[in-house]
Amino acid sequence: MSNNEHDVTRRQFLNYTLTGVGGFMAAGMLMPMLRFAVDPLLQNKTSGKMVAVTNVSQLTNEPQRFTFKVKKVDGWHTFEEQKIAYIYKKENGEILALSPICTHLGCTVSWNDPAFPNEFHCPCHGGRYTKSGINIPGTPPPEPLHVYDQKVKGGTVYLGEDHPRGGS
Amino acid sequence: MKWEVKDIEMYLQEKQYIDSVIIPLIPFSWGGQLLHSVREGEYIQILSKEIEKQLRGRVIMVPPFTYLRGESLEKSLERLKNWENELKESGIQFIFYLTSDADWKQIETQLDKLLWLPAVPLEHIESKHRVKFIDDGVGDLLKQITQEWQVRVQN
Repeated sequence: MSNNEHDVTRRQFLNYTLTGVGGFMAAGMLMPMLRFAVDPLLQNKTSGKMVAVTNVSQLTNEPQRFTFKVKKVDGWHTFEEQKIAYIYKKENGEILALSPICTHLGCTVSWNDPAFPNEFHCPCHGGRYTKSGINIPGTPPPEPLHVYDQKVKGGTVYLGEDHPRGGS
Repeated sequence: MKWEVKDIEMYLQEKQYIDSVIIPLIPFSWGGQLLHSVREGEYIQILSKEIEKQLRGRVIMVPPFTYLRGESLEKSLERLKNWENELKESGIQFIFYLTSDADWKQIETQLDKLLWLPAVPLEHIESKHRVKFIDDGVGDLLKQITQEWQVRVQN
């Protein structure tokens, strides 16, 4: 045997290769697990893109009806859904975008019906909401109208998903 | 509500709130009247989808009632009455018939409530105007439906 210092013994060689291969295998198992564990953090929080709906200059202190289209996927079927928003400027200048879907059974409410001035009124079971979308006690809706995510960029109002309001 | 299990399950839970049904009346024919029939059918289906969306908390949209255009009106009516009886027996109070076929107007009085609208040749209209057209049609129908609800509450 020509053993000099640089040579590797059979035992050492096997040790190195086994640790190397074992290491790869361990990594192959652990990496996906780690990925799964971290995944929720990597998810894009603003699911669904914001859609340009109108110009800020169009808005007044009176809720106005705007329609916009959102892409939706239902199983294998992609389609455009038309959505409605009632948007107005609050006294303090903040913009409020309300979804007109009645929180009772999902009919579409309308603003300022002649019989119900300055309120949102649901044609189905007479649900009523104040201008800011708060359900009026004694009418069927269990909670306030949902509010759209909203942002203003370059004078344009963008709307995103609608969310229930916590507490009223 | 749509004619889908998910919606109907909700109906079964909330029965006391849902008392109306809309039946689209859609004629079928081939030959010379083909395009005409398709246009009427398409228009009514677009409208019903929209109405369902707006009034889904009180209304169930059932599958369309279809009939051969050549079928006599009495015969269609007889078949339709079977549907009506079935619904009435189960406690549905308002039945709206939605159609573009003018023939039904002859026997309007024998139907609970006929909602008739002439079919618009949507294919000749630009898409942005199309939305407006449908919106107007839907608005008009909604008014008729809600009026019917109010009138009968007062009686």
